[in-house]
Amino acid sequence: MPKAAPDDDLLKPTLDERYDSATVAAGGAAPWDPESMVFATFFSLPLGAGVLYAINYRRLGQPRAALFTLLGTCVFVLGALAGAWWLTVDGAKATRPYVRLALTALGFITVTLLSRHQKGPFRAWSNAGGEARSITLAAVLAFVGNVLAFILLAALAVWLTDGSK
Amino acid sequence: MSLVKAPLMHDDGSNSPEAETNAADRALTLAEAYLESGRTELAGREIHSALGARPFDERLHFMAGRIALVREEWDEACKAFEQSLELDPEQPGANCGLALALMNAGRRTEAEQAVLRALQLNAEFAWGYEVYARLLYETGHLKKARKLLAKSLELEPDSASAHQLLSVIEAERQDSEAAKRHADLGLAHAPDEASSHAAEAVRLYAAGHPFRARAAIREALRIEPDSAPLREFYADVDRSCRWIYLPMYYWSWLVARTPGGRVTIWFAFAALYVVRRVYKVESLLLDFVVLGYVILMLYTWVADMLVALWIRLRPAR
Repeated sequence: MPKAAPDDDLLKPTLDERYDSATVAAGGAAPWDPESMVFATFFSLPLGAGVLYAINYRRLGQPRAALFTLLGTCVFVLGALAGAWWLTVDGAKATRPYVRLALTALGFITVTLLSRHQKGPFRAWSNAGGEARSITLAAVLAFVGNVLAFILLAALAVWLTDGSK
Repeated sequence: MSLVKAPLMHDDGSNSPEAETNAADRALTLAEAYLESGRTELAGREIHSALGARPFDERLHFMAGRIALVREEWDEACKAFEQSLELDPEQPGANCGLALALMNAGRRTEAEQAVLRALQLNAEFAWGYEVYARLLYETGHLKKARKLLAKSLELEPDSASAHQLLSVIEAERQDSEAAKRHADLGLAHAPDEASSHAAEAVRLYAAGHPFRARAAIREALRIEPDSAPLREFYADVDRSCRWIYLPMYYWSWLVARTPGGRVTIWFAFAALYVVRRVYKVESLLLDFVVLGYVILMLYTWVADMLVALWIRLRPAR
């Protein structure tokens, strides 16, 4: 029998433990389809979207990735708040729409990348007969939560600004 | 399951003087015949009684693994192939069989290691490349899966199952010409196999022909009426053929072909609306387009519910 050349690209391992079904939905809750999440989380960027992606990582059996996503979301939100604070204090009205646009684009790119990262393990799980959970209700809740959180943060910012005068 | 037949060919047992070996060979021949006629229970019984007399015959464990694979008893199949490999680790077929069992059990990293071992043992094992391609297709690594199937077809150009899988992959990559070519070859090599018609159905469904896909899947079901995955696929295709769901099917089809998908389309309509407001464009046509999009969105939210109700009223034939 002809033996394979060890440097043959086709024979290099491709999969890692993320693709094993045993850990996915181990807690009982089925994951959401990452492809439908891009659209569903667009209106709850960045906080609600980040939380939903972190939850989906947990359901896909990747707690470490879930933690990193949550931490990343916190950093993103703090960065956005710092930017908003600077714009308010500086009064650079003309710059605001561009900053908002840049943040939205960054958020959108991030969720697209996260969806792509979750796609393979999700596909492997659903090919083994798993049925995805509907994202609709979670997306609505994330949107409402996102709005409430930003109202709270805005109120806090106003209170802090007033206090500093 | 042509993969797991290959290693049995190296030893036909005809030159063995021992009666036990002859009994094992007879059991293997009988089990093979039972397996081919679909009587898996009899095949299993035959092999297990032979294993009682010869527990260290790797061929018997190997056959037990094959039977368990056909019966979709994945853990049993894993155990049998592992026992066969313990007795003789240099079997590409047993490694491949183990990979199939592990893949179906959801243990994909171990399955990859097993199939890589098989290909390290025999770099010209066509079925090994096909099993590896199947594993990578399931996990979404379409590019490498295509390369592996090309290699498999280079070694065994008449493999119907490799053409079928390649057709499905090309359909997913939206290369309808290549998908058609491989589906046709799959059908030409195995016209009486349900999987050939199923691959054709997948191709047609992805190419925007749900009614023709339904006809192809009916043909597959005529050959294998009890196949659960085929029935499931038929239900999906039939749903898309209902008039109430047809707009949703074509909408999804269009979205799948748009770079960026739904988000791009949503942005395009949002931009249209903003431009109309900012530049105060008075156009009835523009209003109709935006209104049409909003109505379509509302429809897509309820389409699944509507078709489920409709199917309850008029079930699939």
